[in-house]
Parts: sequence; structure tokens; C-alpha cells
Amino acid sequence: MEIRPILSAMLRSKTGPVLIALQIAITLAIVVNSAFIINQRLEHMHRLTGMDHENLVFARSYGFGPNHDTLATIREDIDALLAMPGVRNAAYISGIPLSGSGSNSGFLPHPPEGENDPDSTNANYYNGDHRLAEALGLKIIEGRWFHPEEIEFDPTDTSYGAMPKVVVVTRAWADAAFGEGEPVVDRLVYDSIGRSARIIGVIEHMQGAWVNWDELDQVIILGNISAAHSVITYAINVEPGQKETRRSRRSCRRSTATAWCSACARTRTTSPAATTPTAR
Amino acid sequence: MFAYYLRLALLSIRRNPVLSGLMMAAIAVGIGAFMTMLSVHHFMSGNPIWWKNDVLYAVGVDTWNPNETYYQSRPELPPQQLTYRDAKALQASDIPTYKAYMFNVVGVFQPENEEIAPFIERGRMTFNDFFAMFDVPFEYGGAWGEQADRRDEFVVVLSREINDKLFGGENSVGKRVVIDGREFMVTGVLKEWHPAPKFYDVTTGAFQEPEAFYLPAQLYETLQPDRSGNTNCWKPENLDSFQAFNNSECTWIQYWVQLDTREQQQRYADFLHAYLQEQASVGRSARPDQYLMATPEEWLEINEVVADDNRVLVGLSFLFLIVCLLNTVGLLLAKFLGRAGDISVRRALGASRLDIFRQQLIECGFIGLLGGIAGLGLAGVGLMVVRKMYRFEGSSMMDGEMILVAFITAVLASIAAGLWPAWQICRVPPAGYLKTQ
Amino acid sequence: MLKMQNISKVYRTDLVQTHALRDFSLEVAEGEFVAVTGPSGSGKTTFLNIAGLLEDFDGGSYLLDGEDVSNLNDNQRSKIRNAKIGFIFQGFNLIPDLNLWDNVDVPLRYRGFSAAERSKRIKEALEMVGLGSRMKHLPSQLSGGQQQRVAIARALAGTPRLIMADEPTGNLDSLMARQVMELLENINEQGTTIIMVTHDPELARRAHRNVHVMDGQVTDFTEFERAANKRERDALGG
Repeated sequence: MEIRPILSAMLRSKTGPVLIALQIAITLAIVVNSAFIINQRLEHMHRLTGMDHENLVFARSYGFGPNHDTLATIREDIDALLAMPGVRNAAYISGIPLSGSGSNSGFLPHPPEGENDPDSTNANYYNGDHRLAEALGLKIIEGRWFHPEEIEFDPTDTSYGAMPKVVVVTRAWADAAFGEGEPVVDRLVYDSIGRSARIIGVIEHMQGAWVNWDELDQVIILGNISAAHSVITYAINVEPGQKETRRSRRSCRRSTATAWCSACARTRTTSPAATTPTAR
Repeated sequence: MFAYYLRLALLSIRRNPVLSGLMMAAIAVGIGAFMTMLSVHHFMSGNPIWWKNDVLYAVGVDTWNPNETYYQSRPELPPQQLTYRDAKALQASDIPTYKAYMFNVVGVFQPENEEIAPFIERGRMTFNDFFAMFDVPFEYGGAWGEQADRRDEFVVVLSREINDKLFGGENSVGKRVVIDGREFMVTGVLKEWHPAPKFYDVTTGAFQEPEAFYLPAQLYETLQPDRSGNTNCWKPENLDSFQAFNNSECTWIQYWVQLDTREQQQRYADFLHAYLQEQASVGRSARPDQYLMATPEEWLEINEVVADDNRVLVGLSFLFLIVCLLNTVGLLLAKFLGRAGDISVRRALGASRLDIFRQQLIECGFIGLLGGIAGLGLAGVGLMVVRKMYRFEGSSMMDGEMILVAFITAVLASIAAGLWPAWQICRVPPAGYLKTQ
Repeated sequence: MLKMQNISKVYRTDLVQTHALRDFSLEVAEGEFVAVTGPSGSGKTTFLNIAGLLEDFDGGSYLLDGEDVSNLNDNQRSKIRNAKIGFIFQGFNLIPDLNLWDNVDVPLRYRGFSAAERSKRIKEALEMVGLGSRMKHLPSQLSGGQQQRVAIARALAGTPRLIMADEPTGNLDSLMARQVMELLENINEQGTTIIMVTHDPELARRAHRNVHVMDGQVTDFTEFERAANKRERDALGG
């Protein structure tokens, strides 16, 4: 290709090159800005969640009525879920991670001193049962997960984050509260009013509710079932490739005492029934 | 002469359909992208109750943590929501024309029709004043009577959507619905009502759909419903019972008043100040000067309803529009220079440079108008995608104002794009193009 | 009608300067029919462009209809072109996507006539050139001779005092050329001054007066003729 005639033509008429240069400059500005925004989003998306989210489905059930028996409902529902073909595991959890809806509070490595103890370290907290680690695909790096008999339920305590006997924390929270790399298994964690629980295990990663929150990786799993809300969430681990088919199936059961509806997996939306008590 | 130029523009487009089409496409794509983003911004920054902006006030009182303010960046502001105690205390004032505290709950509907499975819906507990204060439109019936705000009456107002679902859209006033196992009597059914942003409660997303049902807040302690929404607590205290929670310093209630006169507004401000002083004097954490009376517009601004991202996107899409216009400039140059012959003939026959310049610009404006129409179509598609992605429901985001802006932008932008080419073409010496054709 | 004195015109490019006209002087009286002849490149088209106010000149003076036009702005020049001058080109230069009516309409639009006035003038002009029945046709539907007659109608519609014709028959066969020439003669008889550039000696002979241009200057036509006759005689005698 002859370059010289093109160049000389370009030199003679200034309009064309100026137009092209302007377009390139502005396009570049757009691309750079978009790339920056996209990159930010990608960073969020590619953060380690610590969960087997490829095969995770969440279902919610809402119990009501005077004869509603939370424990029995959970037991029956989980049995029913486990009996479904393609379901590898199912567990109770109080909320859906990364859904934008959840609970967060300050926890301490020692009993609180006064109303504003500076050692209070934020954590997204969830209530969970003995199956939850396997259902979410969490990796336990220190200690162990809950035994079935450790999971408590007190129907009279309607507070959010009622302290159980045992908890599991993420390494990120342990680092923030106790110091980088400190061994925490068998140490006590306190809530803001001084109730304590024993740390029995540490998980490598898990994420809380709010994608854009700085302390997203600081999570505590409480080894009890919450009576604070009527909504029960199930984390269901399905065999690879089953997620879409499970997602499309909606089942609802009706009885005189209880009714439950599965609102199926909506991993990243605000669920209608969750509340977010936070200690700022 | 304008009509003559318009006719010439049409002829010129017909003569050069490909070039003209490309230009329109360039403008359409630019306008489409820009208008999509601008409409989203316009929609987000709208004030859905503008006609009452000078009489409605979101109320806040600061009984937050004595050691730190609620907003780190704006320490002068009280918390976004109220505690139950404060809400009840404020509700006792008789200064406002209308006053209502309000919060979200969830409830399970059990339709009489066994074919329809029970379903969960979000509801709002509030006062009779809510409906009058916000000019909420009713299809059937109306708000519950004032007595239901003072003693328990199991009454409910339904949204249009839920009435469609339960009663097929028929007048259900006086009928019964079962929520969480209790019977409620319908006193009213709303018309379609989608205030966007949902100014009266932005805590769980400013563009959430309004609630499916409304109950008297009076029933709160009787029903002990599941609350939904945002709860913020600062004080380490035991919250292990319904009573304990209600007496706590947790904030979770929205509060609005209507104050029609300057005098009312002043008196209400004094009332809030006195209330906080009184609370401080009985040993509660309270900052007497930190009360808030924000108009809907101020309230939306305080709560940063318009996302920064959105502003960036408006800027980027505007830059994109400029790129499209630069393309149009190139295309126009090609088109106009191709017409140097005709232009020279017109010049010889007595057209001044200004005449030619005008003719070209009118043609540009006309192409811009056509491109703008196509761009509006593209923006419509773009907005559909945005609505799907962000789950903005209800009202259309493209209003008359935006359509007008789209046309004006399209026409002005293409005239701007035409300035340089038109200047070039009207400066072409005619003599050179007349000898041969 | 037209008085040029010592007009000069220089075209400059980066490399060369070309004197298109030098010391060009010419006077044309009202009602004359002047033919301007000369070999190609002699400057006759440049003369026509300057005379028709389509181009500036570098030196000398030019009075058109008694008015000094050397310092007019674009708008004023356009007005004079529009009102006083009618152009007829070798290539007809009709606007292809306008029908005959609209083509003739062009100068009248810029003149600012009312719709009724324009309509009257367009009809008269097209009827005068014998195309009154084809007003809605597009130029491409006409023969070359017809197209040139439309161009003449367009030039006449504004009733100019001066017609500038640049090789008006150059693209036409001889029959059509004769018709066009007759038309021009009729127009001239009605009092319109005509300046016609041509290299066809036969056409030139039908004009009242011939002006010969050579190297950007008017050469004395009679001398040129005498010289030519002499060559002829020499050839015969030889």
C-alpha cells in the first residue's frame, strides 16, 4: 500500500485527521473510564466467596400461625429437600450471603468495657446448623464445624444474634479482632452486652450480605437457630448442572398449621422478609 | 423560505439515502445511549410529590450514640429513622395537619380460593393520615377511619396489584382477607401508585415497589408482625423480647408530617427541640439541636438516591454522543462536498453564502430530528433493559419532558455537527464547479 | 453596461503563478451581443467568471451597469448576480432532482418574489422556450437541447439585463445548437445584453461584435482578421 499519497492528502486537508484524532481521543476516554468501572465490578465479582456458589440454591420458607413449630418445620423441610434427586446437601441458614440483606454487629475478643469499646469488631453474622459448612462448601482451616447436638434453639429469645454456646468465625474476622494469624480456637467471643460463645473453628473464606461493604469477609456463624424472624432460609447444594432446573421449580405446601413457600434462589436480591439490625 | 429549505432537505435525503441513513443512524445511536442514561438519571432524581414539596417534612430526632454521630460525613444530621419510643412520642403532637410514623412488615396471605397457594407480601403499618398526606389515590373505598388509629380494628388497605390477585380487580371493600392467620376487613383499594423514588421510605432501596397492603400501626403490639426493612442499633442492650426491642434505642421507623403554614413549621421545630431537651434531661442520649425537618427533595438528596455511578454513566454517554456527532461531521463533509456542483449553481443564480449555510443547517436539523426519533426508539429499548437489570418497576421512565429533551438535543447536536461542514461548503468558490458537470 | 479596465487575475499554487488575465480591458454597451473567442487556456472563462461576479480579480477596475463592483461583499454580489445577470452554461447545470418548474424557480426564490409572481414568471419563461407543457418533468427526461432551453428559461425568468453564456451550444448537435442560438438572438432583440464565450467561429460570426482573447489579453479583432485574411491570400496567391 502506498503511504505517501495518503499522508500528503492528510496533510493537505486538516479536517479529516482532526476529526479522527478527536474521535480516538474521546473514544479512548470512554473506554478507559468504562474499563475502570468494569474492572472495579470484576474485582468484586472475583473475590473469593469461599462458597460453592456454582451449585448453591437458596430457598426460603415463612412459618406462621399459632401452632407453628420452627424446629419441626426445619427438620421436615430438610428431610424433604435431601430426598429430592440431585440434592447433595441442605442446611439451615438465617440469611442469604451477598443478597444485600443480612445482619451485622460488633463482637469483641474480651468482655466489653463501657458502651463504646474500641475493640468491638464488626462481623456479618448468620445462624447456621451442623450441615451448613458442607452445604455452602466452606473450607475449615482450624478446629472443626458444629456437631448436631450443639445447635440450640430458644423460641422465647426473639433477639437478633442471640449468643449460642459455639461459633465459627472467618480468618478475616479473627485477624481483625484477635490480631493477624492469632490462634483463636477455644477462645471466647463476646457480644456488645457481654454474652460469650466459644470459637470452635475457623473457615478460610465466607462473605456477608453487602457486596460493597469493606468488611464483607468478616463473618461469624452462630451455632443456633434464630427465633427472631419467621423466615427460614435453606442453603441447598445440588449436583453440578442441576441449579437451573432446581431454580425453575417452585413448590408450595399447604396445611392447617403451617404453610411454606419456597421463593427459590435469588442469590443477589433483597429478600422481602429480612431485617438488618446493625450496630454502627 | 424555511418550508422551501425543508423540501430541499427531503429531496437531498432521498437523493443520498445511504449517507443520510448513516448519519441518522449515528445520531440515533448517540441519542439513544445518552437519553437512556439521562432518563435513568431524571427518573432517579425525580420528586414524585413535588406539588407538596413545601409542606411535607421527613422528621428526624437525634437520640443516637453520644460518642459518635450517625453519619460520619454529615455529623449535623440525626439518624435516618426513629426509635419506636420517639415515633410514639412525636405522634402525640397536634401541631401537624397530618402526621404518621410508618414501617415495613411482612405477612402471608391465605386466599379463600384454595387454588391459590399462600404467598408472602410486604406491607406497611402506618396511620390514616398517610393516605391524605401523600395524596394516595383510591380505586375503591378509602383509608380506615381515625378510630382504627386509636383502638385495634382489623382493617386493611390493599394495593391494586394485590386486589387484582385476590379479587380479580373487583371492588373488595367490606370483604375479608386472611393475613398471617387473622381476618382483616378491606376498607379501600388503591389505584396504580408507584412513587419513584419511593421517597417516604428509601431504606431498602429507593426504587422498590410500594407495599402490597397497609395496616393501622395501632395493631403493631397486638400482631407482633415480622418487621422488614432496616434496623440500626448503637446501644449495647438486651433485645431478647418484643417489649425489650420496642423500648430499645434501635432506629427503624420513618416519620412524616404535613405542616401547611410557616407558623406551624416554626411551632413544630420548637416542639422537636423541646422534646429532645426533655429527653436529655431525663438522662437519655439526645442532642437537642439535632432535629431534622426535610422536604421530600431535601430528603432524597440527604439519602443520596441518585447513585454516583449514574452520574458517571450520563457523562460517558454524553461523550459517546459526541463521538457519534464527530462521525456525523465526517459524513456531512462527504455529503456536502458531493453536492458542490448544485451549490455552485445556486450560488451563480444568486444564493449568498448565508443562504447556502442556512439551507445546510436546516437539512442537518431535519436529519437530526429523524435521527432523534430513531434514537428515542433505541432509548426505549435501552430503558427496557435497564428496568430489567435494576428491577425498576411500575411507571415508565421516559416522560414528556425527556422526549422533548431528546428532540431538542438531537436537533441542536446535528446542527452543531453541521456547522463546520456547512461553513466549508458555503466557502467553496462556485466558479470551479460550473464549467463541467 | 460593462466596463473593465486593466483587470488582472493571478492564480497561485505553491509552485507556480499563472496570469489568467493581464491588463484585460473591455467595454460592452447596453443591448450588444458580444462573442468572446480564443483558444482554450486563453483566459476567456476567467473573464466570464469575473464579469459574472463569481470570482474576484486582483487589479484594475470593473463597472457593471455603472456600479463599481470591486469592493462589494458576498451578499451584495449575490444580489447583483441574482437580479442583473442570467447564466447559461455549456453543461446546462440544471439541478437533477428538481423538476423544470423548480429549476426555474431557484433564482426567483433568492430574489424573494411572492408565490404568485414566481408562478407567473416561471410559466412565461418556460412557455417562451417552448417547454410550457413539461413543467413537472425532471431534467433527465429531456434531451440536451431541451435542457439548455430550460437553462435559458431559468436565466431569463428573473428578467436580467445581462446574459452570460459559456459555450451554450458546446454539448449540442448542430440542429439543436441552431435553435438555441436563435433563442439567444430573439432575447437580444428584446434588449437584453448578451456576452457569449465560444470557440466556434460560425457562432461568433452571428454576434454583433467579436472579442478575441489571447494569453489573458484582448487582442484587436480587426487586426487578427486582417492577418488571417492576409494568410489566406498568401496561400491562394502562393
